Amino acid sequence: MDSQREAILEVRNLKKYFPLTKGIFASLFQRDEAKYVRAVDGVSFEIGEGETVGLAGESGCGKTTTAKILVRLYDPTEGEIRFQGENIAHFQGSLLKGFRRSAQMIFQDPYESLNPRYTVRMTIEEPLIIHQIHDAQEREKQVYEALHIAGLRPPMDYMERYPHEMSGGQRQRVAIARALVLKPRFVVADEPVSMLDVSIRAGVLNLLRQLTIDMGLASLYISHDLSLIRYICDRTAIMYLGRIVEIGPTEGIIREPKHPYTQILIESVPVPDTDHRRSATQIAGEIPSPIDLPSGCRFHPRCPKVVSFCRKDPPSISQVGHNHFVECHLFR
Amino acid sequence: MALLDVQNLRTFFRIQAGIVRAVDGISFSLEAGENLGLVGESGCGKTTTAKSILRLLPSNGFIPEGRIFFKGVDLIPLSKESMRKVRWRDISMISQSAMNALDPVYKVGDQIVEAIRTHETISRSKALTRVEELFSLVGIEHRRMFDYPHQFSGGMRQRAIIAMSLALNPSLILADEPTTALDVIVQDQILRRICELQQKFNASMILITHDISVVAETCHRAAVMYAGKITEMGKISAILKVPYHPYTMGLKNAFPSILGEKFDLISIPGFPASLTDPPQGCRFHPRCPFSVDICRKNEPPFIQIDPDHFAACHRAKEADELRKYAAMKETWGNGDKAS
Repeated sequence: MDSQREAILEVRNLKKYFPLTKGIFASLFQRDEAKYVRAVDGVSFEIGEGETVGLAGESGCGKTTTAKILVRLYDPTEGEIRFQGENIAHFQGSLLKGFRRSAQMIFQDPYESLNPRYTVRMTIEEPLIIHQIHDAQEREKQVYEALHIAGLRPPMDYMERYPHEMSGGQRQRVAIARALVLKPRFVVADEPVSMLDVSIRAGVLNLLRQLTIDMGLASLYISHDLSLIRYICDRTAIMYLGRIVEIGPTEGIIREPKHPYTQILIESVPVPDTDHRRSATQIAGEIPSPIDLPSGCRFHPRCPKVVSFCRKDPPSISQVGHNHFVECHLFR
Repeated sequence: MALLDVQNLRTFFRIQAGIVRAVDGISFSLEAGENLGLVGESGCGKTTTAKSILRLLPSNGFIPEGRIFFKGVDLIPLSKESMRKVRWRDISMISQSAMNALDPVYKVGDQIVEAIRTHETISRSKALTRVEELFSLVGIEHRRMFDYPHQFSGGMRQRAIIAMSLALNPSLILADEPTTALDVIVQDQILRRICELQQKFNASMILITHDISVVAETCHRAAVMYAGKITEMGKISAILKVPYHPYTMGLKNAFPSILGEKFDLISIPGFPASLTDPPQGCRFHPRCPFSVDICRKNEPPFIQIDPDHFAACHRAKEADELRKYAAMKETWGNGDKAS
């Protein structure tokens, strides 16, 4: 994070372990250790005011789990989530409800995240009702404003529409309006444009970026698509098997990736340029199971630059540039 | 003679509200060993084109016009039985949800054996040897032949489907978004593998995708589709560098790249044309910043720019000028119109 920005969200050593349930006979007769899926295993980062941070990685790396913990849809197993200075990791009841008012999530699929039987007005009004804004006129005003800032103009044309009467891009804008109607400080967008067509993606992305700046939000943008992350995120974190292996300014990560995994990830992104020839570095195998994690560095079984101590010791964090950190033995 | 020659193909669907003109008069051809990318957004008719070639349309779909010559034989009038023989042996398909196309209660190897033995009279053991060869080609260990689909990861299932599509040595492969559901690293591995194999067997491929960059890396030529029509066709390098159709110019603006200088993404205003009641004249005119009177009235002809580069645009001759404006954000009037 840039030093001049105030951190809205600070995450320290966040962990989420899901217990593996055994069958009844196994649990009766086997005395072995309980096993866990270590979906998120010690993640730390922060997001400043007006900043968009990207979280990238392959499926199963823990990026969506991280997001769901941050908006407290999951309880963390361990770690701190400081939101505007306060640790909200174990908030319950009315405290939790208060936090949720300022933390919102935009989901991947606007064809599924909107209730098909609700009009746009009802969809956006619902959070206001839940958070006890009783004055109907006030609610109407806020719904109108939210539609306006989400680019659905004039708002009156959209208020009484149902989701099926709108295109994918318009639906995702309704989801954005719903997320912003309570004037949150922290917004998580989980692959918000992956279901949209190329020609309308740019509009939704530009909107998200502009709103983050204008409203001073802390935004977390989750995607596996690094070419999209490049257009919207100030900083980017690369996740592999539950850990952030590299984090830094987005252009730095894309142009000078340090971690061997980041390098391979970027090398694999196809580019719309026929003159570009990619190197033939290929990665062995597939992402291992987060149940029996490899010893030492989690990436070592697939890493092309592996050395002996990668197999033994987990790597520590090294600084490799301005605000640019990497978790790899090669940079000790 | 071209391997595949599609002439003025129309494929319509009957629905309650009328007739959906999903594919509305497209023509293209494909030589042996050539890769063609069919690019466009959802609902532009690219998958319908593939299904028409294989004659795998749902019961409300029909082909009112057009010819599909494969090795000189028109496929459209073929009987169901003769068409069944063409499928898989001559033309195979890797479909969009191929990962879920495997039957969960049969072992993966057995499913491929069954596919082979449906088309060829060979013994089970010979078929199994063939599956073994195919598995090493696509990079799956032999011992995994007797696993069930759920024991495979998404990438492995996709590889198994590729193995199956190559089992009978087809001369044409229709790959419909073969890697859309996969992660970039796996996508990269699979695309490389498909291309290697397709070159090795000298098969042709039609790659259907919304992702121009995937086409840039795997295909020689591309056809850009919009609302059931081909708007631009030619070498993929030419289409990306010097597009002649405003829709292609718009797509290029909207498409992010991880290479080179970062530029602002510009979206195309409005939304895709209705296929039940398509706009008069050029179908792209309601979203086109360069549309003039004639675009609203007459359908644009296919204008030849180079021996192998065509664009269906009334203003294709002015493209050099239009391209300059197309690169500017103001041209597309972004900001107010929500798409």
